Amino acid sequence: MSVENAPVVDVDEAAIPVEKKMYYRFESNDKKEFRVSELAIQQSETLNRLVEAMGYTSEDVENKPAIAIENIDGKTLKLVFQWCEHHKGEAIPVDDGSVPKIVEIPEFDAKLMDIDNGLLFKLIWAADYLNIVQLLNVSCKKVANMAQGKTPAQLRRVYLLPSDEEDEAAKRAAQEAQDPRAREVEEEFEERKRQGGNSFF
Amino acid sequence: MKFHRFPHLVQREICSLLHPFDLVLLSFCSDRTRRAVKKANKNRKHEIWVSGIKWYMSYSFREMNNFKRSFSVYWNGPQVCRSKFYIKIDGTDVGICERFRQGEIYLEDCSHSLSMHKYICNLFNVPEEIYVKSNQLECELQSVKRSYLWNSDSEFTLDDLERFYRYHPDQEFSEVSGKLALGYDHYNENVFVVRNLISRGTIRSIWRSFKLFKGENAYCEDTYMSLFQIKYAMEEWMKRKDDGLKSMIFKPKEEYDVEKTRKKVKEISCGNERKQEVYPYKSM
Repeated sequence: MSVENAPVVDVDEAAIPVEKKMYYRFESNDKKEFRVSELAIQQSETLNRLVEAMGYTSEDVENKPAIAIENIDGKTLKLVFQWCEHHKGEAIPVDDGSVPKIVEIPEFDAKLMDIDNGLLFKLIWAADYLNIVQLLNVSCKKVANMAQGKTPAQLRRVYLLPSDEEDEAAKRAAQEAQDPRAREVEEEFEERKRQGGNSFF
Repeated sequence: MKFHRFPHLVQREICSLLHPFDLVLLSFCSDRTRRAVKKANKNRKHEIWVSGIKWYMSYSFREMNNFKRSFSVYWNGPQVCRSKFYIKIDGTDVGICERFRQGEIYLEDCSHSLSMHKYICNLFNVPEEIYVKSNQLECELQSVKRSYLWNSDSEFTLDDLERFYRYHPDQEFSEVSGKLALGYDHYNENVFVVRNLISRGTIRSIWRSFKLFKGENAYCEDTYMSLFQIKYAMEEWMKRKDDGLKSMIFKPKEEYDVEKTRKKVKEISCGNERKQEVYPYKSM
């Protein structure tokens, strides 16, 4: 029987059971709540595993308290979930090992990441923490793009890289902060040396 | 945006997205940054091949049979290189010009090009030995460990090749691709003095391959085959004693009719070992 000759059957769409979408509730460390679809959560390996392990039903989602994400603030989490909702259902990319890695930033992502460096830093940190591969790819690409065509002096300014001397001073300061006696001993040693002492002990 | 405050995985991700040239420049920023770049490059699987001469070295990254040209290191001279900074390589202060053009790094002193080579190899976690990729046989670089020679426009001469292999005697691997200008009056022997050789369309005849190659393993592609040549080569090889040859594999030209040579062979192996794995190029 050809397709044209097939009998036409009226379908009562209302009678078809529609699978109810589940929305999980998450709470940032500054107590802001977000509702995120099950499909969007799949972009994050960490959250996906978490909700799988919890085994919540639709009722649980509504009745139980929101899942707390303690390391991420509301402003950052909003961006993360916006990204996840926009890219829900998309395949998670696999690293093909090409050097340099080829990543293109879609228009939506570019607009989403049109933020100050501080927030971008938090977004990358969150993408890493929540293991959202493609968000990490695009956000790191944005950071990598900042390095293009820059000299070492410009790179130092862009990535706030301390010089060797500054690193050395910071290391010393950290050591001293850990052991306040170390500085006193060093000063005492210097003083004795100035006085012409042969032995410190 | 503090680079060093990112977790290691993120630093690695950023580095994987950067062009090798930008990575080298990033490494110049501080010793801590150099260590971060080196750590991020730990799992990269590639080799660094260079072409050029002492005052101009062009760097390519090789993965299997693909070369990706990445950047060049030039000697610019102290007069031109006025604004510069120094990095320490093995206790030597290497002057680098502050001004960069895309894909070009300028050194103050010509004699520091090998130190810079060492620095770059160390940064990308690859062997410091020199792997040369060249279509010119007058290669000034010393201690070449591997070579990739190709010639698409003209032909190699045996004299030039002989000079090249004599000048770089400790090569563990060489791949030659291109035509060989071979007169009938040439009776050179032991030209390709290298442990492992791949010849792609360069040595066309089987018996000549035996004459020209001095090493352990050779793979010769696009060879002309005849039963007479095979027999002659085998006899020649049987006469030799302790020549160090372990295997020679010949792959005939595509249109070669295997059936016609009575034996159904595509590859003929002489010696105790069959080196099927020599082709395609594989890091040894």
